[in-house]
Amino acid sequence: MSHPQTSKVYDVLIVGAGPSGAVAAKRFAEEGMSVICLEQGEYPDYTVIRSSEPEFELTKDSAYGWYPNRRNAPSDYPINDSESDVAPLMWNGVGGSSILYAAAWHRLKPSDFRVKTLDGIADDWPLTYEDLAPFYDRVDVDFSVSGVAGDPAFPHFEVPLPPFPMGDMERKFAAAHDRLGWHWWQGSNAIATVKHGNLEPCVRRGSCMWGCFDGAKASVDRTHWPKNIKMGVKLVQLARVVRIETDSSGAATGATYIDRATGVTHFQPARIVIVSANGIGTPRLLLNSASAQHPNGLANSSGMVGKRLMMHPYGTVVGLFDDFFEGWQGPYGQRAYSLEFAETRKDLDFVRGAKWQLMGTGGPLNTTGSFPWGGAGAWGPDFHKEVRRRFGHSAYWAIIAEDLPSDDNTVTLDSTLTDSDGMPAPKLRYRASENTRRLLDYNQKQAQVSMREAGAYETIVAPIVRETGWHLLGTARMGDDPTNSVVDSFGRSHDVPNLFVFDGSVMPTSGAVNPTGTVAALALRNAEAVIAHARNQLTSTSHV
Amino acid sequence: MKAQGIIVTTVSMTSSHGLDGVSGQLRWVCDALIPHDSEQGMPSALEAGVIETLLPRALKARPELGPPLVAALQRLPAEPPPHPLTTLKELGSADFDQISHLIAGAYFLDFEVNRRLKYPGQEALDYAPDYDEVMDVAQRVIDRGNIYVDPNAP
Repeated sequence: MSHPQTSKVYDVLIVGAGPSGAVAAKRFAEEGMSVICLEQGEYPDYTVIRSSEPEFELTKDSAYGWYPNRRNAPSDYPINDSESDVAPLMWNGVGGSSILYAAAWHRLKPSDFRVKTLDGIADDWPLTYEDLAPFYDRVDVDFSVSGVAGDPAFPHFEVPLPPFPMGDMERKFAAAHDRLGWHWWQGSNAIATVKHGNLEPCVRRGSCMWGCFDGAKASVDRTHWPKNIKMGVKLVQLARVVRIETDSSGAATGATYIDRATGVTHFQPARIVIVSANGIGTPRLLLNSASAQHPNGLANSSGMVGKRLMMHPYGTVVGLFDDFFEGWQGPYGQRAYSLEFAETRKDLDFVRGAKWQLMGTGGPLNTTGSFPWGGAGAWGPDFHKEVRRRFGHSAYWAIIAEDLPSDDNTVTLDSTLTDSDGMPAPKLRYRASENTRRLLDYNQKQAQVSMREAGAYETIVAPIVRETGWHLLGTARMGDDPTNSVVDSFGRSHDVPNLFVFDGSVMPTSGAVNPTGTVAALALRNAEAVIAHARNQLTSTSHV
Repeated sequence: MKAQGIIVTTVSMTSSHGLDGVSGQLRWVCDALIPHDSEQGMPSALEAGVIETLLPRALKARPELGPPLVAALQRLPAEPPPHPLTTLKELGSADFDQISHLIAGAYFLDFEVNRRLKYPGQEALDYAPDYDEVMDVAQRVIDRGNIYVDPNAP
């Protein structure tokens, strides 16, 4: 190896310090394994968040903006999304996108694991709801999930922390859905409502999606990394991994990374390599790890690395009310959700469904932007009237559409665009399917019914909103058949015996709910499998 | 009449952001976007002090937005055009959004504006859930029965 090599060979090398990497690192460290995590960014600087000051609305989309192509932080890499209906959103640093997520916390439904069997399309997962349920239960505790147990949209499970109080907004929609006979449930969020682990009780500041200064949201920089480091996990910041290396036998030997502080390239050896770099970063890294042995990219004998990108197309329905809600306070995120239309209905012209989450519309400045309104507010003579109509007098259903996998929706390497370290940038090609458009159209019509029943005197519908690609899934799908999947049901590469993918890339279908709960549960399940099979784990002999 | 100290500060801050070269544009743009509204009881952007105090404060919070704001304003005439909003929108959405977002962002920094809207800012709230209410609502949904598909059902 021509690059400087660190002397220590770790049991496990993890690429990415987001939720799946953090969950895995914790479990491996508990088992006494040596773990190193290479993270291209740094810890979030919560001191730049001004959530308690009047400047909050003006500054929230600066350092903690969602769209890396606009945020342009040093740790970010450019993404060519010119051929994508949806713009990808993420945060690159310790905590990964849990720094920005709303923390709406869910598990998939049993039917989500059996889409092919039930609906005749897409794929079944190589595991069932029952296989994953025990791991959901465990990560729910680690992520301090609050809410109400007993949601009849799922088999029963417990929720570890108590719920937020109901406000006027929640009461109106609960009553409306009672009259409609529709599902409604108080929000389940990875936000502590009481002191729990490293988290403080939420004060409902409402800055959940721009970094939680108050320390209540379960981002893994707070929930996992302090414990991980205490247990001996080595977290290397500013380490941009550019390749996973393999030996002549085909086993992974470690990772080559660039120290972004010095510009020096290093090689870090390890017995096992786990990629947890999200649904865009993971295929980018695997494709960039092509070699003579793996000319189409590492772990890509199936040709499926980078295919089947799913992004949960997202629409909104806003209701305007005479009532005045405190719609700028938290949880901001979800106050409540409905899964009434989340599964296939035989009488409709599409399959699968959507999750709706109820939210306030934020502060005064937010009334002038395009989100969630679908278009900018009024300027000039109608400015104040429109601000008054919207501010405090509105609520919206955010509608997350289940995305079905398509080989045409891809992450590839851009032929010219690179990041600041010279690594090829990812290029997206993503188009929402006809099924998705019908699904969204139907759900938006029903959400208007909900709004009117709750008392809205006017509804505003925004079709697919472009900058909503929070959920990056499917680009290294798992399956039992090595000819059409990248990893097995425990995240292990079919091609490289000691290479694993633990993030949302492995999901064969997307479900309709926020995926971090599933990503975390899969990472924990996969980590347990690695531990259970550690004695028989094949590794590179180059370290001996 | 404003205090001398505030004026001195304002000149210093606007100069540092290059706004003095576009002060003509800024004057008509502010009130074209956010005019006075007697019916709603709201001041215009100029009346709220956007140029004197609020915009410099906004640019102090978001200094990286200063140069594109100035560049966008430089594309406008210094004197008020016959149809100000139309002229502004003819800049295109990128420059229009740049200008309008900052002017509105500055406007909503004003305490009195927010007081009139009943916006207290992002407060830290205490809360004590009424668990009886929460569970009553949940029970009504539970009573309607399970709604998930069981793939193992016969």
